[in-house]
Amino acid sequence: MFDTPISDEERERAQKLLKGFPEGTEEAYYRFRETGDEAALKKLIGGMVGFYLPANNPKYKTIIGEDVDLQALGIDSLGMTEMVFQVEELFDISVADDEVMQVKKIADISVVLKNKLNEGSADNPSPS
Amino acid sequence: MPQQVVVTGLGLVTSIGNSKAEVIESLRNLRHGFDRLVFFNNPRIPVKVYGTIKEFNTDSPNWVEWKYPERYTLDETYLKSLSPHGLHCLCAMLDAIADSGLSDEEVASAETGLFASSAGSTFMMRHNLESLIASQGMRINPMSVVASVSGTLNFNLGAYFGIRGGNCGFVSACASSSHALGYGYDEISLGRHKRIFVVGGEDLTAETYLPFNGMRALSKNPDPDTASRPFDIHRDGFVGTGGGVALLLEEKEEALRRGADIYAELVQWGQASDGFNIAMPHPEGSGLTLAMRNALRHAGLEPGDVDYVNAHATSTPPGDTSELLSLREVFLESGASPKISSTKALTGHGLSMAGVMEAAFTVLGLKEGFIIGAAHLKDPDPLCEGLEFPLETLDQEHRVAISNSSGFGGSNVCLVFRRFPND
Repeated sequence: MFDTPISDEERERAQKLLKGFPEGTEEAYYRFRETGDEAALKKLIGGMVGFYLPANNPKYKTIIGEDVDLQALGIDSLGMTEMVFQVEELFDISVADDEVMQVKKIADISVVLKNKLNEGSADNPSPS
Repeated sequence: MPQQVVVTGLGLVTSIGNSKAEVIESLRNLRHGFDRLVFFNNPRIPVKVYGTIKEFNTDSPNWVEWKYPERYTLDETYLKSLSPHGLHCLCAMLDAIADSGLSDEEVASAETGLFASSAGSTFMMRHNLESLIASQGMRINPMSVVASVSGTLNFNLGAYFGIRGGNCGFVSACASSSHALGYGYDEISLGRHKRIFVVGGEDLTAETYLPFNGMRALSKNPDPDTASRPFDIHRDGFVGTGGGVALLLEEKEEALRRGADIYAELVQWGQASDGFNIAMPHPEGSGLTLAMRNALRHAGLEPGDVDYVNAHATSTPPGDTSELLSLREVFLESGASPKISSTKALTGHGLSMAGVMEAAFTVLGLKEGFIIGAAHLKDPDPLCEGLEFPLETLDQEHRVAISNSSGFGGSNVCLVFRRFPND
């Protein structure tokens, strides 16, 4: 995953999925996909969390830079579910309920995601 | 003693205007809201004309790409669970609340309910199912259910406005929001609620309207100026429209107590069914005849008391014929001659939204003193003989107006409105 350039089709799909996310989120996704850069992954996840905060949260639509507790930050369970779905769509993976339950802080999302990417995708169909 | 029910707030996002002033101007000047649209980028689709919503763009299933007028300040948290018609209804509801003068506390009082109608959003459903299918059943947007199933308006608007009274939906196809108004009347009349918001909406999308082309129910006339012509001998089907309308029903004494501006009284309503066919109306309009007679009887009125009929007529050959026969039976046989028009000639047919949209037009006419003309009626169906269809909107104070709605399965509703104050 980390040593091949993103195809035009993948880029178009990512643009669609990350439209309206905090500025820099989409670019962070491309960098992470192409290089596996940890800082880019952190930025991507921070941008996704910021997008799924309630609109009245002062940090709504900002990139959350620090590794904070998600509940304390103000994301609700539906927002969390939406974010997980978006991660699944973006990376074409499936995250199980017990894996979602392990996520308490922003950094936990990166851990789950990297584990899933390392597992391979035997049980995940390719996007059509 | 039953409580009296009045209309004290309107919000309109319709093909003929997105404000009360625009809508009144369109109704007075018989200005239609039709444009040509091409779905699926396929010019071979024989249906060309739709009642379009201006100032909004909801072509994308992604709310981030939606455009809406800057005058609305919306809480984005809720946009992600809306459909296109959900956005229209949210804006209409905000306008109805502002129009009514209700405080946020009154809207969120346990005595305020929300009755809503739409067919749901097949557009959102389709787009969400695409990811379910692509992932072979592994995942789907968590908002897919609440954004797309019938009931989406209740889920979203109920949460947005903190509705704590009754919150439920009505499903009787094109009579849906008229049923919502009727049962809203009952709730207030029985003293169970002080007020009920009645909201109706539909998506103007290929997914909503082209299935009706499968039934051969849509007009193929490519001319926006003549495609929708209820009661005309050349009518060839209905023209679809989308949008959202919100209307506030309120207990009269409560409305007077808080000094609300009252549009009209909803005096009573009646309903009856054809018991005849899944989709076709009874050929002689038997259910609609009974619905009108029930409504007038409940209201203590005679056919001769009715000054204006806002007809259901959608511009389909069989539907308009049934309604004409029904109108003849109720009015001509008793020597009454109310003015009749179908405002679908201007707006198109909004399915679940039609009832509340046309109720709004009817009360605007009562309040402002005009009777809406029968637009596009050049060659009247011979069954119009003896019935009165004004070809222009008339500046005319009037006292009693009824609004008819009919839906699939032969479901019929008639609402009776009276000018307020009733002098």
